[in-house]
Amino acid sequence: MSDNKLILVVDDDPDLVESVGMKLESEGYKVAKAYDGVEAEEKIKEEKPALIVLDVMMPRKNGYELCTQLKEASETEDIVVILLTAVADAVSSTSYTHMDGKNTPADDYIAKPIDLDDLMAIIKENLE
Amino acid sequence: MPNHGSEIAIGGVKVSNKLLLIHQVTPTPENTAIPYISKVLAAGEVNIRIMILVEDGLETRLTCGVDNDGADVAQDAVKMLTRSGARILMVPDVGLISVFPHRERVAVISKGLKALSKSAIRVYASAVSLSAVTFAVDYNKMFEAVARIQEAFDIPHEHEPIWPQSLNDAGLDQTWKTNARYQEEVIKTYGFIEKKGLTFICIFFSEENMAAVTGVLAEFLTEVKLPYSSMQFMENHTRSFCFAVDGFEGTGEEKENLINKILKIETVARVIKQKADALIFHGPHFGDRYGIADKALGTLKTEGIQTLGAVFSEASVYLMFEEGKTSNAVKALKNFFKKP
Repeated sequence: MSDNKLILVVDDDPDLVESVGMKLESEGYKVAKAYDGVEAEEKIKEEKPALIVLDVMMPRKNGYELCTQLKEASETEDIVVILLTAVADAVSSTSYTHMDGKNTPADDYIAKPIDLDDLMAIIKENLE
Repeated sequence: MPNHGSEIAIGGVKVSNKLLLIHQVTPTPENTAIPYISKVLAAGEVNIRIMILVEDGLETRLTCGVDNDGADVAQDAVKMLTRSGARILMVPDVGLISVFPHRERVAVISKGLKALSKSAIRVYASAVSLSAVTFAVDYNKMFEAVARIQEAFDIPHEHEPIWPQSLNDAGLDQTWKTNARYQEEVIKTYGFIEKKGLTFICIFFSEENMAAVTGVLAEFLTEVKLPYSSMQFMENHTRSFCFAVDGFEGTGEEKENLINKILKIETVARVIKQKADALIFHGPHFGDRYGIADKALGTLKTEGIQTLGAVFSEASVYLMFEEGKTSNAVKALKNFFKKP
């Protein structure tokens, strides 16, 4: 059961935000959306989500920075963060490395291209 | 400034880098030229940021936007096509402004076009993706275009338009964007969506009537969803707007009456209408990587499956077929595009 928990989806790819959002809504979750790290910060303050699906490579503030910041602050450390990363999948010309992800205190991560059913399973597991 | 009183709420706005826009017209029986350009661009590792293809039985019209750093490869392809008799128009320094989410509402397209035309911002093309409607405009008017879109829609106050980093601030060499330069035999997708029983319509009108025509469409189509739409610029300052009508809650006769009203808009010069089905899929970084259009169109060409229309925009691919042809297309495309 989702208990109508609020999930924030953050990615600078609007198509991905939309598809994940549609899937979450169909599973009974409330959904908030943001398209970069700074916008996500504002949404977190306003809406206090139970869980964040957080992309890594984004403008203004990347997912690693935001995740570390959330986990270091007492008021946000309990928000579940699932990193959504393509880094595991042969994106060669990027300044990010998979090790950055391993060193980021996220609760879980899923590599793109995500299987939406797998993502739902990870979300449910982490919200239990 | 954002207009928080607008009746149409959207999530945000995204802007591309500078592009070269190429428009190619060939008589339909000679449309082998279409896979040619996508093949040359893929071989040169040039990403197509937006591609719109319409085959209306008389001619095939292709509009594609490529990053400026791929312009040389594109121009070489264009030279070859010109020798083979294709009519080509090229517009340098064009940018894409994407408004999201549109949720298949013609009102979002109409309002966007109206806002841009009011400031004499030329719109060369538009296309939909799963989330966004994207407009191609002159890049030197991009800041103004963003301002006009912000005024026209209700956008969350915390949203900052997503600009390419090179224009974001003084740090010109910073890059956060994904430069996905990988090419697999099997490309991963989030799955295929088939929409059947659609009516595919193309209308042609002069550039000066663009906002008015889409405004009338928005009035007629308040209850109807447009799962597919695209607009292309043509010679002589004309535009073609193609769309597929779906989701009409009424009888077949009511739907037919509505479509007939659209077809009678005075400023519309020519109309094409037929039954069609749509195939929609999207995948990670489809908007940031080369070869997606080539793999999709090349596969369909090899299998002899004719498209009525195609759009490659953001991370989405929209393909329109004659009624009953999507199953064959899915079967062929699944050899190269696979859900993990």
